[in-house]
Amino acid sequence: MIWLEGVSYERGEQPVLENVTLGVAEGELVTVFGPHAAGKSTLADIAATHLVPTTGSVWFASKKLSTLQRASLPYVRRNIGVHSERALLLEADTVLETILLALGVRGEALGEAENAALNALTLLEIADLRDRRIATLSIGQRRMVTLARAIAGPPKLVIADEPGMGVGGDVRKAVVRALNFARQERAAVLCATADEQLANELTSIGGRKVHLDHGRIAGAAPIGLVPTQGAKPAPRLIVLEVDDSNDEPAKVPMGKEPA
Amino acid sequence: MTLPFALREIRHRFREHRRLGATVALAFTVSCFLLGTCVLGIRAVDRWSGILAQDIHVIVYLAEDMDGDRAQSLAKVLGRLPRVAKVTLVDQEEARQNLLTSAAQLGGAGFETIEASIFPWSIEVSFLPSSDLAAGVADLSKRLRPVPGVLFVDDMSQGVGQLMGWMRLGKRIGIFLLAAAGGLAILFPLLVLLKFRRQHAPRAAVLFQLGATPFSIRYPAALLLAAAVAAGGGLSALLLAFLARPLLAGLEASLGLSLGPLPSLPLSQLLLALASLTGLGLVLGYVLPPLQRDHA
Repeated sequence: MIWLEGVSYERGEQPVLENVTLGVAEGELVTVFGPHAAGKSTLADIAATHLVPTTGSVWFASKKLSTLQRASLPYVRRNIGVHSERALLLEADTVLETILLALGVRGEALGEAENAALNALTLLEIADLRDRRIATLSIGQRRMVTLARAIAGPPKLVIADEPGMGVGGDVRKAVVRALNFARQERAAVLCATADEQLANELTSIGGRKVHLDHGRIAGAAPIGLVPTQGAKPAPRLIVLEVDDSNDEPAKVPMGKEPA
Repeated sequence: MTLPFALREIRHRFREHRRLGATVALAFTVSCFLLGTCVLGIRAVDRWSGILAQDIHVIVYLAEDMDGDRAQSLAKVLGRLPRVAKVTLVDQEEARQNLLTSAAQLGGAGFETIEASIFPWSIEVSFLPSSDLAAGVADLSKRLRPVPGVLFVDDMSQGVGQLMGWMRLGKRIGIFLLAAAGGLAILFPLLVLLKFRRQHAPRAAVLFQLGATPFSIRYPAALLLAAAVAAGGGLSALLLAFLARPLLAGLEASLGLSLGPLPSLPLSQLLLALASLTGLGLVLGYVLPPLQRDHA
C-alpha cells in the first residue's frame, strides 16, 4: 500500500532520516520502534504526505507521490488515517462529529459512516464520549479520539504515531485492538512508537517490528513489498540487510526473496 | 463528499457560525442602509433644487417708450437663451389684474380705480434647474440692465443666491455623509470578514489534513457568507423602504415641499443589487478561509 524507497530527510543541516526503505502492504501491521528522536515521527509525517523527503520516493497504492499534481494530493491524503500529536481537532465539534467529518471527506455514506465511527469509538472504549465536545476532553481522551478517527472505516493506510504515549495497560490493550481491527479490515497499518511493550504486543498479534535508530533502520528485517507500476501490481517481499555496526546507510538489494 | 454529508456540513456550519453570520448580515444591513439613505438624500436635494428653480425668475420691467412689438422681440431673444425655460410677456392690463388678484388675496381693497397705463410692460423669465442657477440669473440680469428700453431688472439675486448656497451646502453634506457611509460600509464588513476568516481557519486546517479539496473546504463558508450578505442587503432594502423614505418624505412635508413620494429603486435594479451582493458574499466566503500550503 505504501512504499518509502531510500527516503532521507534533513531538518536544516541535521539529517533526521537516512536512506530509509520501508513498505507496508494491505492488511499488514508494521511497528517502527525506536528511541525518542530516532526519526519515527518524521517517517510517519512523510508517510502521511505531511512532509516531503529530501531525497527518495514515496509510493502510495502504486502511485509515486512526487509525480502527482498538487491538486491530486487531497485524494491521497483522505485515504490515510493519521493519529499523531500534530493531528488537529476542532474544539467546538463533538467526538462523533470529529470522526464523521473525516469519513465524510473520504466519501463514505452518512449511515455507514455513523456505524464506522461508533465502532471505532467502541473499540477504543470511548463510546460514552461520543456527544462530548472536544474542548471538554482531557489530553489523553483527545489522543484516543484522533486514533478513533484514524482507524474509523478504516482507510487504506492507518498511521499511528505514538498511540500508546502515556497510556496504561487497559488503554494500551484498546489501542492494540483498534490497530488490529484496522489490519484485519485490510488496511495497511504503520505504527511508530518508543513504547517497547506496545511494540511487542503489536508483534505478538502478527505485526512486523522495524527498529529505527538515529534515522536509520537497524538490523535485518523484511522491509515490505516492492510496488510495481501498472494496473495490477504484483508485489514481492524483499529483505533489508545492513551490517550490525550501523555506521553505513542501509543497503537495499532489491529483488532478494525473504529468508 | 456525498450530498447528505455536504448538506450536513452546510447545516452544521450555519449552526456553528450563526452568531457570526448574524453579525455579517448586520454589518451589511447597516452599510447598505447608510449608503441607501445617503443616495436617497442626495436624490431628494436634487428634487428640491429642481422644484425650487421653478419659482425663481427674473422680471424685466420695460420703459414707457417700449411698445408691444419691441417687447415681444426682446421676449423672443430671451427665450432663445440657454438655460431659459420659459418667457412670459406681461402687458399693462395683465399687470393690473395681477395686482388686483394679489390685493384681494391679502384682503386689500381700493385698487380697482388704478389704471393699467401706470403699469410698465414686463417680461418674466424662468429657468431650467441647474447647479449654477444663481450665477446664471445674475449673469442674465447684468446683461439686461444696459439694454435700451429696460427700466429695471428684478433678479431676486439675494434670495436666489442664498437659497442655492443652502442647496449646495446640503449637497456637500450629503456627499460627505455618503463618503463616510461608504467608508463605514467597507470598514465594518471588513472587520467582520476578518473575524470570519479567523474563525474558519481551524476548520480549514483540519479539513486540509483530512484530505478535503480546496473546494470542499471553502464552499460551506462561501454559502454562509452569501446568505448572510444577501440577508443584510434584503433587510437594508426593507429598512430603506419603510424607514428612510417615509422619513425623507416627512422632512419634505415639514419644509412645505409637496413633491410626492420619492422615486424608489426599480425592482429589477433591486434584484440586481441583491444578486451582486450575494455574488460578493460567495466570492469573499470562497477566498477568505485560509488554506494551508501543501508541502508535497
